[in-house]
Amino acid sequence: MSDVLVVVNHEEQYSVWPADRELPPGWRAAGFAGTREECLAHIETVWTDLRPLSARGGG
Amino acid sequence: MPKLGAFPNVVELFSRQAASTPDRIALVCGDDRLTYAELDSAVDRLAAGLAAAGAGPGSLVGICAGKTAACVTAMLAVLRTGAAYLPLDPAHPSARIELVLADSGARLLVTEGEPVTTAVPVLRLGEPGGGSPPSYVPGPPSSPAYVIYTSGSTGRPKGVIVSHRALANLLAGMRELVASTAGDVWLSAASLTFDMSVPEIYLPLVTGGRLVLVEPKAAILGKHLAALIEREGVTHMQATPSGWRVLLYTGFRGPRLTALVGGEALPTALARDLRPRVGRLINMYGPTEAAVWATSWEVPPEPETISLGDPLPGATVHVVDDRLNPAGQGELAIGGVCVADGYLGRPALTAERFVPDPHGEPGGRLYLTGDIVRRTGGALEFLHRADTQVKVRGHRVELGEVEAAMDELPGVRQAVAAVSGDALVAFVAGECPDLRARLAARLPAYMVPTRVIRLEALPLTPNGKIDRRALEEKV
Repeated sequence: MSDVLVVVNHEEQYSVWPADRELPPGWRAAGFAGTREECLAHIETVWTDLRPLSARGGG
Repeated sequence: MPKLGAFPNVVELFSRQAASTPDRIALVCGDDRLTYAELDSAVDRLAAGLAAAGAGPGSLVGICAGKTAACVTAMLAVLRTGAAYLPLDPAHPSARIELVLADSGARLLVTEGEPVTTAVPVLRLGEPGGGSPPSYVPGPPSSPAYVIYTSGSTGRPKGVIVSHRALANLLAGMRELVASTAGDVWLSAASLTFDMSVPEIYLPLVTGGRLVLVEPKAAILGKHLAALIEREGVTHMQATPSGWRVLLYTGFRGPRLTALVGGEALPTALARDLRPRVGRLINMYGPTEAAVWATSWEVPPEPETISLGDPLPGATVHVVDDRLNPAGQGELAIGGVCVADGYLGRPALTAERFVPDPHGEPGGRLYLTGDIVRRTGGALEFLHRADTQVKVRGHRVELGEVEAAMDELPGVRQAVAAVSGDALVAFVAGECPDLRARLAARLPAYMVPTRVIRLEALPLTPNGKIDRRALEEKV
């Protein structure tokens, strides 16, 4: 069952979103779909820097 | 003067204030009184020492200290280096402090007394600092200001990362809400690990007011607190419902006091008792994940019901169903610039609780609070939690964390925690005679059950889960 999408915003913050719903403005699909648990497990591996993109310059 | 950015953060706001009112009293702690100029130069000296020890943008610095002038100096000094700070409570067991420090990845610790750990380099407060600090260049508004740990349901506490933008937004909103000005005196009694301490420490210091510090353990003595309020001319004070009750027992009256109550649900009876005794009574609501306070409600005389009220500037609130559609009754979701970055080192947990906001700015996020609420007329009413998070005298406790700690003790077969009034109660199957002492060695005092009820076996529901309701009847 692929009912949930991994989504990401302009700050490279990840979350999950129902696959059957229009994406909210400012979010895009990150190329992974699955169950909610699978999506969260995927996020655990790909989201390695939790800082918003705009805060990553400092070090 | 530091170069000021277009978006003033708390460091810039404090610097401006110190430059414009150097001789006013900024901070009172016992017999200590510091002017803005004295506090500012102490901050500069410590920031120099911190920077020399490696603190700077992108780093996290632990601060383990009581509520003293040195501690407030340390908070501002860490921020002035561009780093973020992590408050640690010296009253917590050292095992807990070490766990949080390790989880946070902090590489430097500032302590007041004896170092509680040797795991990271330690800078002692009060040691002479060296030289002048590097000139302050404000980081991006999205850079972190502080990390505060809250109880975690799986047994591991979690660090909430709050940005400078969210902090500055909170201070601007609170300043407007309570009309805080240079003539005002704020009493700060909350522990530094409790985020209620954030606005009460910074708001006076960025508005030219006066900050009066009191140790949390002194604040539970109602007469002491009432005398301090009188002596220092306190005009603003925040406390939990339990904190206000302690003051009410003394027959307290503060007609000039703006009283803010938060941290747990405000009982109607307490609101009715307290309202006529103070100048203003404001019910504050918000999780650490939305930078302290997200909504406020001015309590009217003789309130019939209690409302969480309306969002503060920079916050939006939505009552949603499990598909994030608007609902009359459902989970409270908070959006806006107040929303935290997430949980330090916990991407999946962050993604689960911080979700796309279909109603806000493009790319914005909603924090799902787990608080079930309903809208009735103009009011927003708290009903219950969606999970087993409870409040114990204002402290947020995940029963799952207490249960996980008990499960690890030798002799415990099964254990459940529940809350009864102001107390935590444990139900334990098995033999563990020194359960409370063993828990006290690893959990903060408010997470240690005050009563332990031993049972042969824990009652189960027909589908084999622990029957919490049957247990609660045994209290």
